[in-house]
Amino acid sequence: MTSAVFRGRQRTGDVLILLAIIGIAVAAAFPLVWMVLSSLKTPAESMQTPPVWIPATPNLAAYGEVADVIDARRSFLNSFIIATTTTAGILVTSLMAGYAFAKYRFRGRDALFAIMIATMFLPPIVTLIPLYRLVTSLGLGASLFGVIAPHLANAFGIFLMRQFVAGVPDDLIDAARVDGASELRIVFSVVAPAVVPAIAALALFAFVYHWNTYLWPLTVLQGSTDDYPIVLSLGRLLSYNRGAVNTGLVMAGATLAVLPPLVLFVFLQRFFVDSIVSAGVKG
Amino acid sequence: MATLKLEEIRKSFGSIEVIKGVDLDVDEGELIVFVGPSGCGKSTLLRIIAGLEDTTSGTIWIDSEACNDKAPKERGIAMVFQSYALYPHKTVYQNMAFSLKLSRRPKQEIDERIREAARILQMEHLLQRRPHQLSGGQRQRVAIGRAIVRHPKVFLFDEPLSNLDAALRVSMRREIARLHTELGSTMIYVTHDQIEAMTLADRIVVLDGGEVKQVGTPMELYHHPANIFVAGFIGSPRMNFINGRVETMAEGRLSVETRVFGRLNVGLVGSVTVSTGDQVTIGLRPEDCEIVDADALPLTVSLVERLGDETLLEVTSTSGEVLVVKAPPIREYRPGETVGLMPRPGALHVFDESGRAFARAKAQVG
Repeated sequence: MTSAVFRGRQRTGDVLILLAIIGIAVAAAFPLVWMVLSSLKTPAESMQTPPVWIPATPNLAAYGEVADVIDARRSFLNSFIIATTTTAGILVTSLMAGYAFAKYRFRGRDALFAIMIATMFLPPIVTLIPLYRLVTSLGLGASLFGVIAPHLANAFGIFLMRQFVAGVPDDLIDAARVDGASELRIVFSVVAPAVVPAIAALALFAFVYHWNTYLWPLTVLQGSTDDYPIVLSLGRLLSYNRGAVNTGLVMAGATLAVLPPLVLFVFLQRFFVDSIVSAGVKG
Repeated sequence: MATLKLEEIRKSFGSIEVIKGVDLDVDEGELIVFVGPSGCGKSTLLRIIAGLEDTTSGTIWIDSEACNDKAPKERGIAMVFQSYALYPHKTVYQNMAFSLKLSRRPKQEIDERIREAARILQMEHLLQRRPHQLSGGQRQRVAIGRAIVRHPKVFLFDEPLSNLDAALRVSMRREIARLHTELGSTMIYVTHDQIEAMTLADRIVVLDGGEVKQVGTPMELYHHPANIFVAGFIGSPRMNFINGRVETMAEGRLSVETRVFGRLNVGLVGSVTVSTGDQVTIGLRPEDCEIVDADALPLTVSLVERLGDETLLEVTSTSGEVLVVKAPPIREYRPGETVGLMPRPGALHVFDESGRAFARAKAQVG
């Protein structure tokens, strides 16, 4: 094969890959774009067939209406408390347990790790009722703490951290021990800075998951609407108007709800890119 | 400065015993080098002294204080690692300050100690850099600086120069020797490189298979190895070993029949427990024989390595034994030519069947 032919084929391949990537990106972004556009339409435009793509005069009325129907500030605050507390808990417990699993030699370590990994494969719905009974028997039903407590540790997080911490050189940890650092100090002052990309990834996963989680808060909060996170309050937007769905209103609520995780992603994305770049340089 | 004493130290990982009863006394201000091949237990022994590994049995004494149950930070030691082990997210200054901050030293004292260490190691200009902005030599210097600031009783070095290139290794080796003179501290240094061991040590501890094979000054080990292992390990290129059989023995003199040199007469001191007909091993260093014209027992040159100031010849005897000899560079040798060898009088070492050396005259100890 001549190099010109080879280059030509490579070019065609590149174009096909690019087209596929564009296709996937459009498909992924479409619902998001549709949501934002719909939130800017008038109620009439929302109901029209064939659908109106771009609103004639974009208006923000629906956003104002959201605040009339639900206590958006309170809901956002609840969501924020649930997502940040749970994320912080997961980061701390995952880092500590991941460190222990990666760097300590103790009897039964591998068996314990295997059991913990096995819990990752249980569908959440299976543990829903037992967990609910446990939480209510502890007197934590219908409270934000009841929503948060069972999720402060997470098998996936521990697994992820163990994998990354295993890559931290033992010498670094020994150097810190000789320097007089306690084990806790080693975890947070020596190991944590060495696994920042993993912490960023886990923080993002945990925050988004617990921001969006629906079933567990719905179960635990038992209709205590004051404690509802924004995702549950969106449900109230749906049932507002006795079944006659106001699409613009729901979409405005949804757009607001999606903003915090989106901002967090934009912020943390830098860490992923950094980690990929530095890995490439080090070879 | 402190003394260090190891008493019957043993260490097992599961059923495998890696340190088999090590005893050692280190004087104040002494630089002791642990040397031995990979897997001989030298790094494990160092980690035991540091408190990074527990002992299975035995006692570690630092300044007459038993340290077995003390954490590394309580032992008054500082350690320099082969991989440097610098905290990558901290600057050089922060790396050096870390241990002092943990021990809650006043800020001014921390600063003074860091500036002093930086001056000793000539790295004042590097203090605000991060490890990834430093060369290998500079990183090692920081690692040493991090140890110095703690003013430890004992410095521990775990193969600190292994990751450096040859030229840098030589200059850092000299720096460590200078540092030892300047600080006068007790130091334990682990290496697999016998040149590092010879040039740095006050005394060398040769380890093999978790056992101490010999402890002595570099020249004691070179001239009077206690056994065939030490004889082969110390000296570069390594000592040649030739099989022989005891022909006759008289007071202070042994006559050994070899296939390479024919009959060799060896002068020994002390009592010799060997009988006529016993198998022995003759040791001959490459620098201890003279190249002469081929005689009745010719050797064929099979390899020539020119080093500039000298030439290494690999020669093969008619009976197939291979020897390495150092030749002066004045003459060109070519593979295939035949030469004769004459051992320098008094240069021969004799080992019995178990590998133990017979004592030689003490005249050569430096």
